[in-house]
Amino acid sequence: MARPRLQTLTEQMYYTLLCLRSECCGMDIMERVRRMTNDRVVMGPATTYNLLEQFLAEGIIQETRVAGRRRSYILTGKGIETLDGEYQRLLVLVEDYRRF
Amino acid sequence: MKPKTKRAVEYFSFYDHTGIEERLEKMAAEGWMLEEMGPFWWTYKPIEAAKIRFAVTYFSKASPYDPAPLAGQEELAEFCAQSGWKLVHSAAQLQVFKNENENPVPLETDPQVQIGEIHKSAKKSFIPVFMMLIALGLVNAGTFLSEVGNNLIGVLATDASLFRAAGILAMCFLGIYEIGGYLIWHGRAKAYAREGKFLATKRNRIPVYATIAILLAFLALWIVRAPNGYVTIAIVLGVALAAIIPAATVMRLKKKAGASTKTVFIGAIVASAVVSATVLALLVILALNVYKANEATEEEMPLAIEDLLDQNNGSYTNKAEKKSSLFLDLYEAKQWPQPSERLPSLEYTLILPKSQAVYNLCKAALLDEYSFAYGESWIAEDPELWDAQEAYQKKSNTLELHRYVVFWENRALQIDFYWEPSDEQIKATAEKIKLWE
Repeated sequence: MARPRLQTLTEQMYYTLLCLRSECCGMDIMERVRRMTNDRVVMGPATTYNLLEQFLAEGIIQETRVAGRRRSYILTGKGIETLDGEYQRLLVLVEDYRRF
Repeated sequence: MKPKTKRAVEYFSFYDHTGIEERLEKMAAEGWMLEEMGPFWWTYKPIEAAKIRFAVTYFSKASPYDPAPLAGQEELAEFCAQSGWKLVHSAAQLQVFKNENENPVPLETDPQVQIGEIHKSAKKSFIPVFMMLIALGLVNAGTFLSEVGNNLIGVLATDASLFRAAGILAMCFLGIYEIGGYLIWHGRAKAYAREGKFLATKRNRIPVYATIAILLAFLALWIVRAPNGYVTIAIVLGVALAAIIPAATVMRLKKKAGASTKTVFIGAIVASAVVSATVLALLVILALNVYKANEATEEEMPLAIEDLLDQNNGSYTNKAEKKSSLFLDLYEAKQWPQPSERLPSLEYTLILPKSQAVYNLCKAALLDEYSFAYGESWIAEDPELWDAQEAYQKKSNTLELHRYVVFWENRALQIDFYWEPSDEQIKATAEKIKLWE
């Protein structure tokens, strides 16, 4: 059975959404994620661009500002829910690890 | 001294970014940088040989008719430039980047996102194109098989049939190879992506090159062996022009200031329609000229009505055509009088098969002809009169027919006398036909 889109976030998706809890320019996300994860997660530019387009199309983020070709984004209500859902899912995984 | 540019015919599957990247890296190491991916070949410019990393990404919103990069494409290029990736060339949805750093951040770091974008692009261009190729192959296969059923001897009589059959198989094979290959890769790549891994796309190009080489070999065979070689060359040139001119029009329109995707697309459609109509009209004119050129004198014909009846030569119009293929030689002739004159006509097809298998096929086809028609059947005749192995006459409940099919050891004849032939006329016919080489 096909898995619903964005039901489980990849690491790159998760950190991109985490960045966008506060307004952030698309081009700055790569650097921010790298710093947030101490270089553990590296975002490729094509991946970052395509992810932002995908999130926009899904209504998970919204555009806040456009300055030339630099666009800024922030999470929408649906985006907050998606990120929170992923956090809850990860917590369950951690809890299960602890229990067994 | 190195030439200023290098052109190379490169074939890569649409989704084969790994293959494209490796090819471009190899060319850069040999001192050639990609300049343009054209519709027929790729152009390279000379550079200092260097180790350069290439990466191909996909921009699904782009189309081959865009005269300039879309805003999103430019934004993508800026994202990439930030990590040291410079746009080398953009060919519709394919975006080729290079990076001269030793260990650059990869362009794509999430396989799920990459596969999604490739699939969106493939659904828009690559899959419909190859589906159309398969559909075209199947439609052609249908008409070809119908011709084989209705006129097997006519199909066997020309080497164009071999090229046609090869073309149909090639269309179906390439369509299935490309789409099937893509679907297999896509399924496996999705499974890899669930584990966070990338699956390389490097495709084996040999089957595609082999198919094209076989097709060209059949085309060459057809051109070399065709009695009207110039007609064959004209057909091939016509088809090539019908492909080249619309592609050249698109390239030209894209460079024109103020052009939009819509105008380029409409330009391509108009160019295709105009070129196709012109080529078709020229081919029809050519075919009519060939038909006129088929007028033959009775001396050239294996058998003429004058050999059987005492007729005035000037009263008849003669049409004759000799065909030769790898399978058989065929001579078709027809003689008919002026409409005002009440004289009989003669029509026949002489077949000289080049193998026993083809002989058997022709025999079956000749005896099968119109066998389904109500009230008509072939009745075996005494072959002695024809000095042949077998002879048959068509009998009809409603019409008086003098149609015969006669088989000798190495040839077969189907003949229509539009009068009742005497035994002497049949013997004279057999003598003439047996002697003809």
